Amino acid sequence: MKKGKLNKVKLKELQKIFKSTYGLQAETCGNKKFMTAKVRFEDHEDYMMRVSALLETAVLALDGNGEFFSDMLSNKSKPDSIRLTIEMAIELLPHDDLFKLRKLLAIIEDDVDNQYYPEELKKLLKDKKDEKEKIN
Amino acid sequence: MKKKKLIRKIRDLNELYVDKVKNGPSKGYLERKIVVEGHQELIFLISNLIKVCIRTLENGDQIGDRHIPNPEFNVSEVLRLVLDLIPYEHFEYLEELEKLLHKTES
Repeated sequence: MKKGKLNKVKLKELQKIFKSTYGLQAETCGNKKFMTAKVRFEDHEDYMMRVSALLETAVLALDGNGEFFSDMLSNKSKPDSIRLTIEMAIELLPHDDLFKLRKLLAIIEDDVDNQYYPEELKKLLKDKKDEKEKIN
Repeated sequence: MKKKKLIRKIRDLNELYVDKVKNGPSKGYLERKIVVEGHQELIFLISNLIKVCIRTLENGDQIGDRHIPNPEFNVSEVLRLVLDLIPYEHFEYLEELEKLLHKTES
């Protein structure tokens, strides 16, 4: 078997992983390319509460006393705002992309024993090995 | 406007809204897209969120922190994230709905 075919299949598999619908998604708008991450909210209340927590954390980070100027915001609790902001950071963590990376590395490093190594490639490699043995 | 026509218009509007806001595999949740240039920018965004939290916990008075040399920048990045999160579509929907209902009243 030619090495070219193996590389072609490898490349196809790599592209397949890149095109998968999980993790950051590539999008184009006119000539501009960008990626989009997704955050989820339970409902509208949860949505507003989390956006508000981000702003509260930003305000408190800038203020030396860790307090709000406005009395209207005196009921806001610093630990709650921080907790929600950290939760947002957790939500944004790119778990899916690291999973993608693991799959990509398995192919690039020819880690045949890896559970994510594609079956098609495994078969091609086995055929190649058999061919070599026959010649020898 | 007749009741039937109004209900149909509201339904059409709702479909458009749901398509914009509640699409994707996470049905039942509100989903929001955050635009980044790539994986690195996403990680920087996460680290900015954490840095702002640290700064808040320390009452914003830690000067010369090795991890947070430029807290104003971190705060401005978090504010940028908030800009991405502002629910424009929700209020567009709300306004359209308001207009429709107002038309029927008059």
